[in-house]
Amino acid sequence: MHQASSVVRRLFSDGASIVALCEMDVESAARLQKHLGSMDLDVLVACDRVGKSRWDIVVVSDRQRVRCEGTGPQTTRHLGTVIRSAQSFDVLTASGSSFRLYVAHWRSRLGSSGHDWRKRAAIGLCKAISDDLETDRAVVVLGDFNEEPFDSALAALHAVRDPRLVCRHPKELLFNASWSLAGPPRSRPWGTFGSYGYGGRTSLAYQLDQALVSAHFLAEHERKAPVARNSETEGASHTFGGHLPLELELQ
Amino acid sequence: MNGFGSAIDHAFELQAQHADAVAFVETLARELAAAVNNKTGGIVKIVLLDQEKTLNLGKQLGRAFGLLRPQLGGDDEDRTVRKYLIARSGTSEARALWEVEFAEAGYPVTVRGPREKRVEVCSSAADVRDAFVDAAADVRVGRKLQSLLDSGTSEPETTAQLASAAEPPSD
Repeated sequence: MHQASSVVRRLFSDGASIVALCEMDVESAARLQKHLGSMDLDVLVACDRVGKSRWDIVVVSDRQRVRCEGTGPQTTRHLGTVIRSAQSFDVLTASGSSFRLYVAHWRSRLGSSGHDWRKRAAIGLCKAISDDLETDRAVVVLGDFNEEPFDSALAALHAVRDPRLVCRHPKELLFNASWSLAGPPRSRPWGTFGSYGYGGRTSLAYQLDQALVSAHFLAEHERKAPVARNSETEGASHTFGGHLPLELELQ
Repeated sequence: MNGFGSAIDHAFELQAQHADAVAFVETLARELAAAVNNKTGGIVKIVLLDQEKTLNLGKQLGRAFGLLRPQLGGDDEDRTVRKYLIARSGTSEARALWEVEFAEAGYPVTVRGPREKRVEVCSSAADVRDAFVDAAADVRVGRKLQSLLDSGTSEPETTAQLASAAEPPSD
C-alpha cells in the first residue's frame, strides 16, 4: 500500500486532478487516505457489497481543481448474478465544466466465463452512457476492462478508435484514446507497450486499462483529442499491481 | 412473398416477447402492491404507470379530439416503453420508486433507481424479479413508504394530479 500511495501522491504532484483506483477495499482506502493526509484531496470509496462480491473502486480528487460526487453503481443481472458494470461520479471542474465519470473494473481474464461476463458488463454500462449522451452530458470512462481495445466487449461499449466517427455519431459512440497503446509504437517496434505485463499466448503485454471519452472532448476542426498514455511516473511499473497507471489528458 | 411473410412473423414474435416482458413486470408490480398493502394496512398503494400517462396528457387530449394525424414517432408503439413504480397514499401525494424500461424485444429490461442515476440492466425475467426485490429493500423506498404512511388518508383527486405529483424524469 505504501508503494501504491507513493505513486498516487506522485501522480497528483505531477498535475493529476483525479486518480481512480481498482482492487481496493475499505481498509486499503483508509490506509491510502492516511498516507495522503497532508494533501488537499477528496477520497470517495465505492467498496459496497454487490451480489456475492463487492465493488473495489476508490476515486481520489484534488479539491482545488475538481469536485467529485458519487452517483451510484451501474450493474447488470444475468442468470441470477449481479455483474459490476461501473461506478459513476459527477465531476465539476474549477473552470465550471462538468462531466460524468465512470470507473470500471471488469471480471478477470483468468475465469473461463469472464468474457461473457465482461460483455454483459459492457452492455449494461453502454445503457447508462446512452442515457447521458441522450441528454448531451459529457462522459469519461476509465477502466481496467480486462479486455483490449479491439475485443468485442469494447465494441459492445461502442468504443471506437476513430475520433471522426465519434464526431459524426456523438450520441452513440465513445472515442477510445487508448487504442494506439495496445501495440509497440511504429517508430520503435521493440519498444514496450501495454498497461499490463503478462506472459500470455498472444503477447507479453496487454492494454487492459483504457480511457474513453464522449465527443464533447473532441475538436475535429482543431484536430484536438484527449491523449492517453501508460504512466512512466517513478515507482510505477508492470510489477506494480501488475498494471501501469493509465493517464488521460483531457483537452 | 416469403420474405415479407417471415418478416411479419418475426415482427409478431418480437411483439409477443415484448408483451411477455411487460406482463411479467405488471405481475411483479401487483405482487409488490400486495406486499405493501399488507405491510401498511392498506394505506399505501403501489401503481405501475406508463410514461405516456405521466408525461403526455396533451398528446392524449389531441388524439382524443382528432387533432393529430398518424405520424412516425407520434404513435405510442414507436416509443421505448417505460413504466414507473409509484407509491401513493390516500391523499394526492405520490412518490416515484423506480423506473422500468423495456428493450424492443422485451429484454433486457432496465431498472433505474431507487437511487437516483442507478441503472441495472436485467437479461431475464428471473433477473428482473431479483432487481425488483433488491430495489424494494432500498432505504429510499422505506423512507418514501414511511412518509406516505405518515401523511393522509383521503383518496387522490385525479389521475392527472397523481401523475403530476409523481414527476418521473422526462426523455
